[in-house]
Amino acid sequence: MNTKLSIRSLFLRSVSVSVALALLLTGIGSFIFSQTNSATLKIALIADLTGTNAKGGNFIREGTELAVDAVNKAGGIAGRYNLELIVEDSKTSPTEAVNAANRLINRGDISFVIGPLLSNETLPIQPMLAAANIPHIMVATSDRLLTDRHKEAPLSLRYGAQDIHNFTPVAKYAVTVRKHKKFFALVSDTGDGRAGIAAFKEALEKLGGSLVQTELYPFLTQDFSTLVAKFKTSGADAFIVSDVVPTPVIAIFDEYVRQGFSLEKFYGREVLGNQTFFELVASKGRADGIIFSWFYDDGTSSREFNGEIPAIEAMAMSDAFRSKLGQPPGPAGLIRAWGWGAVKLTQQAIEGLIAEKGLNFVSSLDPVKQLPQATIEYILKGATNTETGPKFKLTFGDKLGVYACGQSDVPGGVATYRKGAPVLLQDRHWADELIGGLCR
Amino acid sequence: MEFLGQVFANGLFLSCLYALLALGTTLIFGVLRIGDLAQGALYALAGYLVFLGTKQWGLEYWLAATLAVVAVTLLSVLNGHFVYRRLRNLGIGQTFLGAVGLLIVIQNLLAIGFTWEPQAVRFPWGDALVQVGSIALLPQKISIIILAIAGLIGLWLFLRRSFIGKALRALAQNREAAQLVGVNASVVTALAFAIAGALSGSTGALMATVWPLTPYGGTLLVLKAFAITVIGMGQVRGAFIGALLVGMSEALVQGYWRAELSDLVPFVLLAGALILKPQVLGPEEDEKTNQLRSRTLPVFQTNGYLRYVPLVLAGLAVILPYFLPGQFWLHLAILAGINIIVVSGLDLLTGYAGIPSLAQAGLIGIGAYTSAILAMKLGWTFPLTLIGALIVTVGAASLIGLLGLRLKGRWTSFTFIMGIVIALFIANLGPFTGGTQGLIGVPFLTFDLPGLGKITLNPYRDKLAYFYLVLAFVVLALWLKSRIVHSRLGRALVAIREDDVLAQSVGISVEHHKLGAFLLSAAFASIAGSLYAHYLAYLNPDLFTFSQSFNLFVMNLIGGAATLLGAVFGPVALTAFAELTRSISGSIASIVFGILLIISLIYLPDGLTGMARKVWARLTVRSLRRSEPKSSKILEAEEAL
Repeated sequence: MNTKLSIRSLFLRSVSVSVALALLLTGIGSFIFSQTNSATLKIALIADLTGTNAKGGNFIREGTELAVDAVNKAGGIAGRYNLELIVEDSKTSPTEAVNAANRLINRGDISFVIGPLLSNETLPIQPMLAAANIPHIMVATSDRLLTDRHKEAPLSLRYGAQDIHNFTPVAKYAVTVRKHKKFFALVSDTGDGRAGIAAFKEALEKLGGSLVQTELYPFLTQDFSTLVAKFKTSGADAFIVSDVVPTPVIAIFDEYVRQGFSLEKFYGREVLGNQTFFELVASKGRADGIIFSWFYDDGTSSREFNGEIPAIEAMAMSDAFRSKLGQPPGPAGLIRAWGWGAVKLTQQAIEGLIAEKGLNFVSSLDPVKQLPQATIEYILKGATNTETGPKFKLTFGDKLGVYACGQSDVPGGVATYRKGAPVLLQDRHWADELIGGLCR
Repeated sequence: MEFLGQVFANGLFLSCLYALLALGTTLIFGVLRIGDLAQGALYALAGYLVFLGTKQWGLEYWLAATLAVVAVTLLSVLNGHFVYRRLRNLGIGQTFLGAVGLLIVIQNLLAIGFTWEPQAVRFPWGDALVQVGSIALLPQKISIIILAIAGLIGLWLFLRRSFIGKALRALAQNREAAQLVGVNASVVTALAFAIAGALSGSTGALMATVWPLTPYGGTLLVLKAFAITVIGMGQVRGAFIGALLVGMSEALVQGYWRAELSDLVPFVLLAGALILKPQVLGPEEDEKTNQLRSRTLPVFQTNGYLRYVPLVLAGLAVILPYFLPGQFWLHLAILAGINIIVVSGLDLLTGYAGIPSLAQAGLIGIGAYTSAILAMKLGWTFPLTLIGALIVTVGAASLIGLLGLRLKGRWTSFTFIMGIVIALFIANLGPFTGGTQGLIGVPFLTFDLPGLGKITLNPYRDKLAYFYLVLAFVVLALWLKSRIVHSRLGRALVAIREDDVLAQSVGISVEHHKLGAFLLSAAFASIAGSLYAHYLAYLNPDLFTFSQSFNLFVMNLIGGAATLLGAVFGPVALTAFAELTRSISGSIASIVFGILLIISLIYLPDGLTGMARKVWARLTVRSLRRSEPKSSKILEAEEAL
């Protein structure tokens, strides 16, 4: 009897324990699963991998790939989100950029789009991505319109600079330090070229200077001998180039030197600080004395500006960045750093969102439709200026903030070359009173 | 005055630079009727070989330059022997595409080998200008001027006085007759390619020390040289006058007018010279040399089963969206559909009338911009913008057709120039077109339907609806094309293509019919342009350049000219190819495209439709031989082969 009872009891107990164990294990399992189940965020990069701006495009690809690898090797964002990079070639053409954006929109699984580098490629795709509700991190460094259109494209952020960053400090340096007031301008007949010179003209006129002559050259112009020769008869006392592609800028510079004009009168934009110009021209000491706008590296705090020291720091940062790429020390990690920075900005914003709202809440957001939007909103939250909004630790430094209009506080300034090395002369904030607000 | 002298000297240098490239391409054009655009890539290759020689192997500049010229000369001869010789008999359209294919292959090989970034080569005598009075020029530029003048005189003497030169001219005038009297065509042709290669090579080796070296550096130069060559119709005199016109006008526009017009003005002048004084540039050309080799393929008209192929395809297209893996493929289907509309129109002109046009992208551009501007500025809905665009595009095409069609043999050259002019014109009409920055924010396609109000098709949300709209236009375009082909107009076009004199003798007005075909092709292009503008919501002059006309031409010939379904197969095949090769590097994909293009031109001269026809005919012959060995249908089917 007892035996029977004990057998029944044993059976019932075994079943109960088994069920309880199964329930427990299932619960623990699902709990563990919910904690370790990772999602993949697809980040797309549109970059010029071929064509005239291919070097810049490949730089930004390298920087972006490096950042994605770094995030994934560290276990993903908050151990929850792995990143997958999808790269589309915009082939240095607005048309191809539009096709690339279409391709990404039509995939329907992209969380963020980064790029492209040129304004005239970014301008047409900004409204497309806005219409498709895909957050867009822009890195184009020219046309102000990209920032101005934030209201129509509220999910777009500008990680790059804009032309008033570029040209206002240069104009101030020209007028107040070098006493050059009348300029002859050679401008690429592209969106970037035109937008750049418009910003320079605006700043110059505020300082009492003027553009005495502006020449727009077609995109694939190779011979600049006649156009450069016009500088002599123009009555201008200085010369400025507005183009973002290195090849024509090098051709213009070579022609300028051949015709015997003074390097002290040669002005330009950030393309004069990039690696191509540096390697082919400036590193040999051939460009010593020219003036250009320089974004010396992302992450460098402009508030730490101290004479020439940031330039040295920037070089050290570039070297460090290149060592990550397994490359020997060298200058101008700028564009790579922007690719890197755009990914790291996303990572830190998601981490900030998790810290604020909790992992469970963030995990409940759809990684394609809801999380990216919440991330952008987090970046812009309270960012009426970069002091009060969230700040991000980027490539090597920190304190990069984003204004309410989506414009980031990119560090930069006026630079020259001395003995073949770039030297920062003035920080961008030196011209703040002329720049005014970056949002309007 | 001092400045005028300098501008004149710069213009002379540019003229001589274009003349050097154009002299080589002129020789080849004279002998083979091939516009060898690949000379532009050989120009760049010579520069890179000098770069390699001096920087990597430590050679002296002059030695490296000599070796580069020898290598480029050899490559030019090899191109002639292995590629152009096989394309020569196919017609001007195919040889032109083959030449562009070669240009793409060599240019992208350079990009892989040396990257797209600029390189520099230093000249051994430094970078100082040589001062002659008030004029200053680089020694390399002076060398180009001397080389061009020497080349011009040498070539003129060579062609007039030497036995080989006379043989070359004889070959250019009448290939068969020259061969009959013992001219060795292969040797003489090789010589023409060697001279062209040597000229391109020496120019490239010198210019590598003047301008930054890039893989695409020779492209614009050779496009200008090609324009100069084709308007000169293979005549040295025409090439020289054309080069002077382009080089001097470019420098003068830069020096005294608006630099942004420095590409537009030379092309406008070339077009003007063609219209007003074509005889100055060279003798009038036999129209036949400009025609496209194409045959009306009878298979879909004669065979009972195949008659239903278009209907089956239309049915498949209707259910296609439900089998596509995602929205992205719908996007591709829409783009392919828009291209089908353009190519259907282009085929009426190129395939049936036999007069290739390279202005089609420009005509799409006129339609697209007109439709977009009418919607943006006047708020017109789609049917109205479509009609407005049709009126403007057909109006512009009438002007081009009236001016160009009377040029007979120079028609294709004229459309090539006009295509470039239209794109540059759009780029320079900034206040209306947004200029080079493009037209941003083109409104989505809107209908005003009675009772339903305004309906807007947002291509990001309503892609399926957009697909069916484009499909409706595709079906309409193919139906219209089919009706035209089987109408009196269609038969007249084919008659004109086959023998225009005979056609005229039976009362067909050749010029009117050709103009009609061109206007019809423009109308198709305009419809496609309107659909494209509101789908993309953005326009840029880059969309409508020569390269886009080239792509359309490729679609037409790869699909199969003078066939109903060739206009479907070509765009679908090229769209699929572009997407299938997208995952590989851009340069490698371009090389694969170039090689496949050349191979398909050689081995599939009638395109995909021709291939399908042959396969079907073979199957028919085999089946008939088995079932009805004595049937006369076997002969009919064999004829189709």
